[in-house]
Amino acid sequence: MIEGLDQITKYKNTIINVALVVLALFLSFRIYDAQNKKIAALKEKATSEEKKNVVLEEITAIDQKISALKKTVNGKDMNTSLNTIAAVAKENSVRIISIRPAEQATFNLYTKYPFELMVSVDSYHALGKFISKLESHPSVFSVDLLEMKPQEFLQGEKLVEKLTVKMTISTLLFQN
Amino acid sequence: MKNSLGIYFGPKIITILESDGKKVLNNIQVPRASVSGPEFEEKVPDELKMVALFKDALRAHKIDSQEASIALSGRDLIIRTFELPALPSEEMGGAVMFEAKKYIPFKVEDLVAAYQIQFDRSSHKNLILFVGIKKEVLSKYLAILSQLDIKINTIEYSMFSILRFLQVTDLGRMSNKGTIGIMSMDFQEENEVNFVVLDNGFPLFSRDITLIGRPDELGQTEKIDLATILEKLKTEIRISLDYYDRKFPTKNIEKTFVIASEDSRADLEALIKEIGLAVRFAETAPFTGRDIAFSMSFLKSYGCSLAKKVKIAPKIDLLAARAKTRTAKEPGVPAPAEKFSLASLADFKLDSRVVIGCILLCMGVFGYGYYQLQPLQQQLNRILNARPQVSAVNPNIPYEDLKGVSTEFKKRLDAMDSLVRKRLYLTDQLQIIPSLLPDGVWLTNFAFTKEENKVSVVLEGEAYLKDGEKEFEAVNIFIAALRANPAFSKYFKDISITSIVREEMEEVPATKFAISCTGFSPN
Repeated sequence: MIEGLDQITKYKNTIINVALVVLALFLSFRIYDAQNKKIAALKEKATSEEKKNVVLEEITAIDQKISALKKTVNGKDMNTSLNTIAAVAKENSVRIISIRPAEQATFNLYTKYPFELMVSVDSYHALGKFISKLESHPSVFSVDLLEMKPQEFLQGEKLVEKLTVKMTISTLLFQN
Repeated sequence: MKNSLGIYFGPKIITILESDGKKVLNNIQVPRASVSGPEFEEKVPDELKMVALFKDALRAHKIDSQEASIALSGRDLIIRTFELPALPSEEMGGAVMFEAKKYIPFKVEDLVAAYQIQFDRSSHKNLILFVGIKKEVLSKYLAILSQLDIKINTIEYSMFSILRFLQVTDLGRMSNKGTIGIMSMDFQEENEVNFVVLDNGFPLFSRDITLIGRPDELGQTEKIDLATILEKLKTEIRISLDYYDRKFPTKNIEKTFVIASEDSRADLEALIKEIGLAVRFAETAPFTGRDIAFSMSFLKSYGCSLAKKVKIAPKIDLLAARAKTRTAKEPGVPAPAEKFSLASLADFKLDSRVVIGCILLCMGVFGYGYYQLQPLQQQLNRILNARPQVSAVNPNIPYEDLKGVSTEFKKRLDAMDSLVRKRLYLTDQLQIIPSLLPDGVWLTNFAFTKEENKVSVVLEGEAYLKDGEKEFEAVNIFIAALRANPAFSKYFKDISITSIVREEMEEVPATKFAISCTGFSPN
């Protein structure tokens, strides 16, 4: 016991200094370990944020397309649509017997605005042109119902065959 | 803060000195002659007389310190320095005691001894500083202090107290570097000169030179002729230097520091220079003050009182050696060594190089990590700055959730795209159907409906080929053509005839038919 204590006393400075070195090594290891973890976390975060940027760029591109589409499709109202239908009909020699807006239907993405028409047209060809013009119009029209029957009319003294067509034409507006 | 007590048991005077830091508070000098004087009974032991004198003196000066450091004269101690080869540490103790026997005129067993080792790199040998005291002498001093209820901190050679004193003078720093000779002398007070040679603070050589007659004769000498003393001193110094030069031929004394009274300095300077040594005198006046005349015992007790505050290279502890000796003799006896060890453990010294190294290590590791972190932090900042802003999306949500949002956006775009661009165009169907009619077949009615994504076309018509079978075949060809047409069958998967009948129309037999086509459009 005494020998041991004497040895400790004799080498106390060495022991204290060695203990200090051990403590410094321990602290250094803890600092190194903590900073390594921080570096790893930072690397992981950088990778994740970079991937998020890629996804956000994709979303931005999609969002721009959606906005462009909305701008094109939603640039109208009921009156404009009626005027467009009437104008296209007149342009293609289609006589509108009647036209009235039907009940609108709302879906998740859009609202559908239908118009019920009764038209009279001289030929199948003329009807085709009228429908083609409407379907290719930027305001986006689609035909939901079409029933046509040939009917004969007396034009003066001449019996003329015409097509009587019942149609439902609808357009849509995207929800915001 | 506790005051420190230093007691020097000189050959002529015993000095008790109380100090607070470097300031002297009390100074008591007790002549040895008064202890053995006629006022005390001859049968009373000197120790008891001394205790009585001390008690009176301490009481008179209101000194109540419970601890003291003791300095002893060279004549109470055996001080030797010698060399030993490098040995394993477990063998060193035995080797030192064996070697010490050569220099001691009595049994080593009668001594309490301690030693200090210094490795000399130039000679690759161990320098040993050996200090011993006769057990009976030590017990005498311990008994005196014990009866005064004063705990002893250290017992040291008085020349070491002078070294301690030197540390607080202008020569302090210089005395620890190089090979330095130190002499202390007080011709008025003592019949001896202490001479020590230090190598970087470690004693290589030590001698107490008795000036006149036997060591105990000074007190009885009535008048001392200074010229005779100086002549004797010169001779003794030469003898000592001859011995020293033989023992340490490579370690030439660079400077000599002398502690002596002002009035003897001129003679001493001339004497030492004549021997061929460079000399400097330590300034003692700032410590003794105006009221106290130069006194070597004062300086020794003062140096001794600084034991806890001022460190010197020689670290000989006779008290520890005594405790060790007692425990070795009485196994199983709980020695005061543990207490001693704990006290001495508090007196550790951190190596400044180790401390700086440790700080640099920690800072280096931290700096290395910081150096690695900085570019990563900058990279992260760049990524965050380059982030596209989407008003409808929170960019701070996790990556997986963001992927989900992206998928939702894609689905939304696809759905909108289907509504606009991938919808069923009736124009195409209106072109296809007439082009597929075989000769002799025509349509009479056309009906198209679209509800949600279900689409249907009902085609009613007639066939006239003057042959019922041919007319039926023509209707079937029409149906087959509809099915085979990719643009039509893309939407209308189910194409079937709902009725076919041959009947008279305006007195002409013809075939009437109805075809149902159903399917799905993308929206």
